[in-house]
Amino acid sequence: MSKIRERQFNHDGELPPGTPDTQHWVVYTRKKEGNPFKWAGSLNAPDLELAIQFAGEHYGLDEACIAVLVHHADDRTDGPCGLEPLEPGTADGDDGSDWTVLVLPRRGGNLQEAGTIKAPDAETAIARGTRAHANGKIVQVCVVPTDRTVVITGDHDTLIWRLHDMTYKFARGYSKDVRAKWTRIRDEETYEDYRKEDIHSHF
Amino acid sequence: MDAMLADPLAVLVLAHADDKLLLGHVQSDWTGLGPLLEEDIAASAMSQDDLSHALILYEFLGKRFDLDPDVIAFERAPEDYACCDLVTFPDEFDWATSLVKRWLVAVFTGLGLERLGTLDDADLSARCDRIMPEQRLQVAHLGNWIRRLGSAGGESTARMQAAVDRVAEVTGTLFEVPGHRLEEDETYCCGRDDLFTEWNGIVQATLAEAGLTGTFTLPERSTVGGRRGTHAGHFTEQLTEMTEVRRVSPGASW
Repeated sequence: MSKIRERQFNHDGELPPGTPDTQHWVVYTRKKEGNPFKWAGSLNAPDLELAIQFAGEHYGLDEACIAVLVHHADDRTDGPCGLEPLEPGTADGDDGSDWTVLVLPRRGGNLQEAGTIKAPDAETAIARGTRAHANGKIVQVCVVPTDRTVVITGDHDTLIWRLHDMTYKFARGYSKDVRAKWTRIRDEETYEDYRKEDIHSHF
Repeated sequence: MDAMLADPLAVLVLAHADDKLLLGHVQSDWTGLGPLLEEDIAASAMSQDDLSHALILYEFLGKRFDLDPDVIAFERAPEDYACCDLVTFPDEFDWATSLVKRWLVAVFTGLGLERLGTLDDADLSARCDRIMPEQRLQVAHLGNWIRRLGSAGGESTARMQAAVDRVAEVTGTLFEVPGHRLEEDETYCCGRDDLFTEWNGIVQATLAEAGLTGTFTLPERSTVGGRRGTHAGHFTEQLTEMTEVRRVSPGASW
């Protein structure tokens, strides 16, 4: 076994104390031309440059998409999230700067881009965004200053569907496909025992 | 297998595929140990990419010589691997060394695959075209880290410079002429000088931006090293580990 595998290296005293020098960034992906950006996940990075790099590589390569949007988590202001769908309200006006409006179609769902509106501040942006996009089908409106978002497009090969087999990512629960995958290497009885045990201990 | 190892084009493809396979294997040691969680994921994904690229090239050879890609990857004698000694050069768990090593190899592989892709072989060309976007991403990703850490000053710059100095000693192995079973032919790899010049230009430009320096030399044509099957000890160590499961159960299927 190699020295690396055996972990024979000793770096005691060399490592600096952990520093919370990373920040939180939120990532959305656009699957097809004309589709809205939808929440994909988040990541930690020390600055915008690395956040963009990681967002493109993690989300732009690991799922088929044509664009990735990233913003600092602190730049998003979330409106109230209720049990009932939002009413449009009466907020009006078109003064101020551009805000990207993100809406939550249902509680427990994922945010998706709804459009942009102009507003002087976040509170007004949420009110105007609600007026523009609450159609009795969404439960929350969130806004981000548009100039605080960065969009990476598929130009110059920055976003591509990875070459290596990632079908393991699609394995969820105990579907027919997952069963077929496992029973290729385990007999049915062993798999069934494992499934029951797993469900019993986790759910 | 013998026919493949006696074919000049196959050996050139094999050199890149073996570089990818061994580098992907060695670099996977870093999974879970990267300096940042996101970089850990990115580096691990690049190792997987390297293994995937190796497979694409082994499949090309497998089709051409009627061989199972897994057999090409895992069942050759050590002297029949055409990878260079740089890919298995131990980084001693030093992140700077790992970065510099992977970056130097990535730039070389990118240029090499670009050239292979221009040859009059539609299958090979299509395979190189498919690999290249991920290869360009690797070059960009690693180059960004070289610039970032090199220009950070203080300990960061010092560690990066030490890594460049350390790795520079074995970097020439990238440009060794591969294939210990090939007849001596001056036209084979005759573009080696141009390749080195282009590679060195890219590398020096990034090093300059990073505030680092490095001197790399092109080895003589007659140099016999890893690419001609005379590998360093660290290669044998890695190969032994990499092929362990295969040797325990030859031909096993999943």
